[in-house]
Parts: sequence; C-alpha cells; structure tokens
Amino acid sequence: MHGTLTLLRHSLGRLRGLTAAMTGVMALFQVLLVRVAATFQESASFGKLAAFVPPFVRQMAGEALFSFMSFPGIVCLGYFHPMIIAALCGMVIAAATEPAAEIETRFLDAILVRPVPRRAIVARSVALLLLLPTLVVVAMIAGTSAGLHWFAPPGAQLPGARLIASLAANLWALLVCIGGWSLAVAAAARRRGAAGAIAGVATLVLFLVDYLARAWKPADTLAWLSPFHYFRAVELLTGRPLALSNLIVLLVSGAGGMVLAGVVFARRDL
Amino acid sequence: MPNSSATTVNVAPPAISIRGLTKRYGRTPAVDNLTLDVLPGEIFGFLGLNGAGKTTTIRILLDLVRPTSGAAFVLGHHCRSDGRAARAVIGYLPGEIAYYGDMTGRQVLDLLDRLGIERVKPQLQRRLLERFSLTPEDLGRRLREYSTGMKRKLGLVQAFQADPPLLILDEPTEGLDPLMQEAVYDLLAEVRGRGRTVFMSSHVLPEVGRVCDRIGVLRGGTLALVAHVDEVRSLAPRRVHVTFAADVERPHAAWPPGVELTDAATRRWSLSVRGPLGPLVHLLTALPVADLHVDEPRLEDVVLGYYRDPQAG
Repeated sequence: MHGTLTLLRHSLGRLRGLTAAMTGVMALFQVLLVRVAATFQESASFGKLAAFVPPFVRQMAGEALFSFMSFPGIVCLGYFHPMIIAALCGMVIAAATEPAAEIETRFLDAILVRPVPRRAIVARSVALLLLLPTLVVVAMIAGTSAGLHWFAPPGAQLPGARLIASLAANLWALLVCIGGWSLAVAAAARRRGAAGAIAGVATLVLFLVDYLARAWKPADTLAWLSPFHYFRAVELLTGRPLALSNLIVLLVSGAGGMVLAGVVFARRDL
Repeated sequence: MPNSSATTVNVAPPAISIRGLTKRYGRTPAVDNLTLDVLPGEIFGFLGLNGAGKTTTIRILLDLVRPTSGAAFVLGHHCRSDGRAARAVIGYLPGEIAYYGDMTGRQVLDLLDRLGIERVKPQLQRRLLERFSLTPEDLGRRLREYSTGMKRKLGLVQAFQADPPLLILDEPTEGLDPLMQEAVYDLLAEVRGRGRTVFMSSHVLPEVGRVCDRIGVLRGGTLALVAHVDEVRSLAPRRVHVTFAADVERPHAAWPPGVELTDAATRRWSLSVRGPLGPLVHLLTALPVADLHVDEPRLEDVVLGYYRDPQAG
C-alpha cells in the first residue's frame, strides 16, 4: 500500500500538467457552452435552427434532434461531443499506458528492484484511472454550474441536476472502461507507442461499430461489444433515466480489464 | 540434548544461491542449468561476453525476469515467491541508468528511498554524495543535464545509500573518470570490510582482478569457470623478459617444460612460463644475463581463454 501511494504521488506529479490542462479546458468549455446556449436562447435561434432541418432528417433523428437543439442540449454538449470524448479517451489511454512507458525506459527496473510488489504498479495505474476521469468530470460539472450561475437567461429551461449527474456518471464509467482495457494492453506491451496505438485504434473501431449500429441493422449484432453502446447521452437528453445496467456493464468491463492487467503484469518478464 | 561428541559447524548460508537455473527465450537458452553460490562477505565477479547470460541472471535475481526452470535465492529468500523480502536486502546498480530526464537527482534518490522498507540514513547518503563529488547543486539539476558519469555516480549512491547486505552492481565503473573509479574501489573495500556481499559484472578484467575475491565466467549461458582470483592468476603464464649483455643464440636443446619463447632478438628474449621459474633460471645461468623482469600473472590471460574456449585451462 505504501509503495502504491508513493508511486501514485509520483505519477500524479508527472501528469499534473496534463491533468490541469484537461480539467481547466473542460471546465472553461462548459462555461462557454452555457454562454453560447444563452446567446441562442436570447435570440430565439433554437426554433429557427429546427426549422432549417429537412423533414427526412427529422424523421431519422426523431425527438433526439430537438432535445439537442435546445438550451439544455447545448449546455450538455461537452458531455457527449465526439471530439471531447476522443480527447478524454486519449487522456485515459495516456495514463493507462504508463506501465509500458516505464518498461520501455527501464524506469521500472529502478522501481521494482526496491521491495515493491508488482501489483503496486497496476494498483497505482488503477487508482490513476479512477482519479483522472473523476477530476475531469467534476471539473465539467463545476464549469456547467458556474456557467449556469453566470449566464443562464431568465426563463430558460435549465438542465436539471439529475440530467447533468447522469451524463457525468455515464461519461465517467465509459472512461473507466476504456482505461481498464488500455491498461490490460499496456500490461502486456514493451513500448508505450505500441500500447497507445493498439488501445487508440481499438477505441476508434469500437466507437465506429456503435456509430454504424445506430443506423445500420447488420452492425447492430456487434454493437453490444462496444462500450459506446452503453453510453446513451442522447437518450438521457430526451428525459429517459440513466440505466443502471449501462453503468454496471461499463464498470464491470473496465474492472475486468484492470484484473487482466494485474494477471498479465504479474506473470510477464520485464 | 546435543551430542557432546559431535562438532557443530556454523556454515553461513550463501548470500546468493542459484540452483539449476534455466531461462529460454523460445528455443534459445539465455541461461542454461546454472548452479552457483556466492558466499557472504565476498566480492564476486560475474564475467562473460555480451549475450553470455549475465544480465538475464541478474534480472532473475531481481525478479524482473522469470526463470524457465530452477530457482535462485538471496540471503535465503526465494527470488520469486519471497521476492519482496529478497529485494529488501539488495542494492542494485543497473548497467543502464534510466530515470525520467525531467526528474532531478534529489527526486530520484528520495523516490527510491521512499520505496524501501527502511529509510536511508542521511549521514550515509551525505558521505556517499561527498565521496562521489555530487553537490547539492548537482542534485537539483534535471537528469537530462547529467553526463553519463554523473548518472553512474547517482546510480551508485542510490544502490549503496540503504547500506544493504547484498549489492548487485552491473559495470560499476563504466563511464567514470579514474578518480571516481578509485572511489568505487575504496567503497567496495569498505563495504566488504563491513561484511557486505558484492556481486558485480564487469568487462574491465584488471578491475576484476583488483577488487574481486572470486570470479565466475559465463559462456553461452553456462558456467565455464568458478575460482578464486588468485587461483585463476596461478593458471596464467608469467611473462619473463630477459636482457643479455652480449649477443646470444637460441639454445639448441629443448626448452624446459612449460617454457615457451614468444619473442627473440639477439640481446632480448620474451618468454611465457607456466609453472615454476627454476628450470628457466637454471638454463639462463649459462648465458650473459644483464637483466631479468617477470610480469605479474594477469587474470585476463586466463579469462580471455575461457571467453574463447570453455575447455581452456
């Protein structure tokens, strides 16, 4: 435990720049999204935007489209925008592949010749993969709250605390899941570049599988394999409650990746 | 009740005990059925060409690499099943010092200290830093600014700073200037005087001959030689240089056994002598010898033979 905490402190020190940047950018982005949404609200642009949408698109997208084209929809955009998701996945993959970097640079030789059990390396990474998404999601919630406090126009329909909490919880579970499996890849790798590339490409493929499945029936049979299948932000926007089963699947899957990482790392040559 | 007629002999367990250790990468054996004991309080030189299996053996001792078969023990602790206890008694200097370049020397020492079971004694650390001329300013600099020698000195400080009973040193003087090499030799003598065991690999054979009590030569993953340094030296031929006051001819009679003329000029011979010098001296009494010089037997003359041919010696 002592070794894990020492290593966690060391890793947090090394990642402090990335963490500060990600939390700062995400909080600021949420504040600015509220400002943008307020502008649209004040100029009554949501109705005009909806009017531009062709009927066939309305038919395909259904009510989800209109839930997005609303004040709460724009405010919550940061929790499910593909670019934001990609950036956050990149962050957790970078954190998860730290063991591979430590093997590659032989820094781990210096650590593990001390009386530190190998499981401390994986436990450190698990703690990091729970902590970093938490910090970012909390920063996003704080940014959303601050933005609403400062910029919400009077009379606008505000996103409820339950909606924001549900989106944040679903996003956090998704990041934990991706982090867990990235850690499993890193535990078997000798180079961070290789581990990061495999984890990154796999995440992209899984995203695309889920993306295709939403519009193309044949891909639907594989959609259950994708963690993005259990990230239902648009459904939450339309007012449906967060499905606990989705959270459980993501967290159990992520935990499975972390356990696998521990087993692989304990058995391998370094 | 102990038997009064029996003699009780307290034999200290080996500091390192390796039993039938084999490590294969695919079909290639890196270490092949290696059995070796390193005694407490000795400095053991672990020698071999690149790829002989030295680093693999050391990494198995440190539980960084898992053996295919066999076992290794450090001060009685199994290196794998009791690896944490084994590593608690080891100070390790890696061959390649690899810390993050943006860490300072002080951060490295503090991190490695915090990962130990017992904290480093500040006085010992300060003495080591002074011995290796590492100033507080040096420790405040980032490692990317360190030279190879400075990294090696930092590695030596972190290996010795916990005063461990066993030191495993991979090329301890590589990259060091002659003064720092002397500092390492003094430190090794000091720790041996305090009963510490040192297991070191080195390619610098004169250094091995100077500091080690025993050596083991690894070749192709197997142990080709284990012996005391003095025993190994006694296997080496002595080089004898004879200068004559007048021109001499090579003797027509056979040379004494073990004597071989390696270079002959009219007034100077160089000879290689295995065994006693007496027969050669007897032969020379009939010649106008002006000077006789005998070189000390060199460790490398034997060890290099084992590097080339395991049947040597």
